[in-house]
Amino acid sequence: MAQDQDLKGWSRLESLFAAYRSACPDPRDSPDFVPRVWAAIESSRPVSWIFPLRLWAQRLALGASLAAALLIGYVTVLQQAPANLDLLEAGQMDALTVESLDEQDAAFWQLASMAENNR
Amino acid sequence: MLVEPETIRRAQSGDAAAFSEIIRTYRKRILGTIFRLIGRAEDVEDVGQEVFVRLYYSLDQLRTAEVFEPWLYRLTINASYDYLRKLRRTRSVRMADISLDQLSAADAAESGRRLTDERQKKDIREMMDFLLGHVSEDDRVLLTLKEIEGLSLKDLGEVYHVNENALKVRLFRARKRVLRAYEQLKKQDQL
Repeated sequence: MAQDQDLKGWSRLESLFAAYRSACPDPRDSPDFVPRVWAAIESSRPVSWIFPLRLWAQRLALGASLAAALLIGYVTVLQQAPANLDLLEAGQMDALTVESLDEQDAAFWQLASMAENNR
Repeated sequence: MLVEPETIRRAQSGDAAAFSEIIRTYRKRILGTIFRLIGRAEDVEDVGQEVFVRLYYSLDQLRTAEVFEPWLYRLTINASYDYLRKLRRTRSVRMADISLDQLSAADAAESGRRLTDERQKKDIREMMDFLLGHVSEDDRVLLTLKEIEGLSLKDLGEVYHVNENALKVRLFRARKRVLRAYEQLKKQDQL
């Protein structure tokens, strides 16, 4: 019984919706609807000077990134350079030390032979 | 789908002619949906225009051309909501405002008779407006899309991104509320 009532209710609602559907008028659009949409699109585009500004900002950001990359590269090379310099300097020092030791040796042997002779 | 996926893809890549074709193809359907959602003929074109402007600027976010129609419906619903919110429209039709003519138009509709008279059509529109005022704005939109626009549960699932069962429950409750309001109205009329 209650189910019958429900079914009746649903079908009444269906009929009402159908009547409403057919009672809604067909939308009438003005003939210039499409051009008006385009005009609205154009007018809501970002302001003309913002676009070049954004382009320049992008280029600037790209340039800054490149410069930063170059700087990092340069600093990295510089950080490695002192080690080479140390090696180079160490080599020179060693050479000088050896040279001075040779000289010292020579002086020592000279002094030693002189003492031997005096004896 | 009313347009070829290729047309949508061309519009996505900035082809103005393809976008114009989309507007020409969908404008009637979209304007009709907007009318049924907002109920004000004088503002339908403005909201429709807003829908297509939003479509233009969001077309690049569309993943595949196949989901274009639910996407367009979503934009239509959102633009209609925004319009209604801006208008702060309150559905203030009271039961006492429903005339006998409107009830007899509803009776005629109920018995399946075709409404030919413009006055009767207006009556039934106002009557449904009153009945749909008994559900939330969200449910009103959902009922309109399902019962008036004829969208399937699958279509609605794509529009709302929810599963069909959740939609069925919501629709059932909304229908029941509308029916209760209608029965109450009829009962009042009989007193």
